[in-house]
Amino acid sequence: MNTIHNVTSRYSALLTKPTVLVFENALYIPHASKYDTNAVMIETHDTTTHISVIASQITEITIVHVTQGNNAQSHAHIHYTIKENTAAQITEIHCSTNETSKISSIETTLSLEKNSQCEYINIQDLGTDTECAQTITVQQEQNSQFTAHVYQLQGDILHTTLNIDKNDTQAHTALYGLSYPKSTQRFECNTLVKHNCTDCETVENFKILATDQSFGVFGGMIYVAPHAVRTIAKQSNKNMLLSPNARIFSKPQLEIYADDVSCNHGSSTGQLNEDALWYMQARGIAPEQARQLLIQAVVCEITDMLPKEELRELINSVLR
Amino acid sequence: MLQISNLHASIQGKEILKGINLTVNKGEIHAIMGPNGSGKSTLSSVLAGRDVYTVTQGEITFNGKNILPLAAHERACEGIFLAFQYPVEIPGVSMTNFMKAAIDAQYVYRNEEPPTATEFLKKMKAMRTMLGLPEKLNNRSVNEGFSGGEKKKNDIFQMAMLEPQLAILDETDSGLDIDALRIVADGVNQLKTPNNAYIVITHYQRLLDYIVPDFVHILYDGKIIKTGDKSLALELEEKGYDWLIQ
Repeated sequence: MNTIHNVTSRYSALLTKPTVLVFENALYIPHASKYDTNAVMIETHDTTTHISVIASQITEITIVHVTQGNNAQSHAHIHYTIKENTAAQITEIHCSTNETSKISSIETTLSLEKNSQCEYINIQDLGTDTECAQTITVQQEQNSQFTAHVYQLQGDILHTTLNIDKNDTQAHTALYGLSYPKSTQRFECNTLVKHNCTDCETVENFKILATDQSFGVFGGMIYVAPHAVRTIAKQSNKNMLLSPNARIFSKPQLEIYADDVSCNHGSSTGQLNEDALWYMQARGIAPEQARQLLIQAVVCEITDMLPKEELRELINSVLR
Repeated sequence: MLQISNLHASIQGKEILKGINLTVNKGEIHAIMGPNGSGKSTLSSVLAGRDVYTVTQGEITFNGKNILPLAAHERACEGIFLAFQYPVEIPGVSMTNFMKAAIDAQYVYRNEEPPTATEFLKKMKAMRTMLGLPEKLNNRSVNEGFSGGEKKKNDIFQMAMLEPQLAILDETDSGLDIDALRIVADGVNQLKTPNNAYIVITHYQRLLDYIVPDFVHILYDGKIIKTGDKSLALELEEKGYDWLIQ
């Protein structure tokens, strides 16, 4: 398991949690994992894993998914069930070792039963030769609260799709995302939130910071069904081009078939403010540090939403 | 301290400064006045090292050192401070982080030990009180949502924190009401020592009632066309610029 420890050393703080589940090329590795049987139930079959949260207090789960081996290809299915009246905080770390070309695809489903809560943190910090495609599908029942934090930090091509279905009333969703592609990396994030019932809320805030010759894509769709009145939905996608050769594509969409809803969306893509950089330099701050301060200011809008200080520090340290 | 000789500077091929000569010694206050478009703000930006301007001729030495090859942040660390005509808003960067970064950078540049967090916060508090800025300043983003007066006060606050040898106040009085003007001027006067110097750029005599200059220079079409004492400013207030230009 040494290779796993090497690639995850920066996340060591998360590995001390009572529940840590390790996967290697989509396969669950029981001897590297640990969990509290009173809080979590696990069933595995080949590359499919079912994880159920049953404890009434907040259950913290850390998932480490390692892709390794030359030309490795893996395809994993992970299914979470957050039982009625329970709460979970799930942190998934997706990483890979430094060998050539790997492809990882992961299909994740989360079922949030009545009155359940879930904070889902997805950190993609893969090798620069790894392609990773993830589809995350969430089913929300009545009065459930789902919050996702998606961080596309490192990888070759990262493609993440989030599909949220609100199947009953008062199902609330918050989606936060940060993509930070460098060199020639290509990171893409697509979200589809379906308001199928009345009285549901969604808040969405995604940001792309693209540097070098990289490529960032955001597509966000909020759909409001004809009878889904009193829907409240806000979507924001504000991006930064950090180099003249980086590219960002943004496609914010609302599809509304009901009256009596409050929905808005906004998208903007800009550059670091030259006047602000000049102001900081006139105070003695070197240009590179001034840039870092401005980038940090943008990143904080997303990382401030993380549920714990240790996670904020972790993400900030990876970004520095 | 500061010696400017035959300084020519241009922006995008257009010459703005056409041979400036100016010497500023320790302990002096120089006022620069002049009609719109005469090059006052350009002079302050060139001194501070803004890279959109090109110096085509001449020299600037500061404490005997040629500062033309130095970048803006290096000049700031050498002890040159520019109070902006329009201080910039920086959303998401708190005053505390901004000020700490600037102070640490300047101390490191001078090979000195930066102040500890406690010393730093103590000084922040003292200077904030002097300028009548609210306590919530620390956690607010730099200049974001500040009124015009607060922004100008905030620039003087930064000057108080950084203790520059040479401070250039670029139309610090514009957009200030009488009370704010007095607070800013009082702050500037309190920070005056025999070892530092000010260049005060202004349109109006009013500011010079509070910050009394040793020299008044008239800048017109990129050149200093007349130098006098504070009575020159009064004369200008009365007669305008026309008699000088002709």
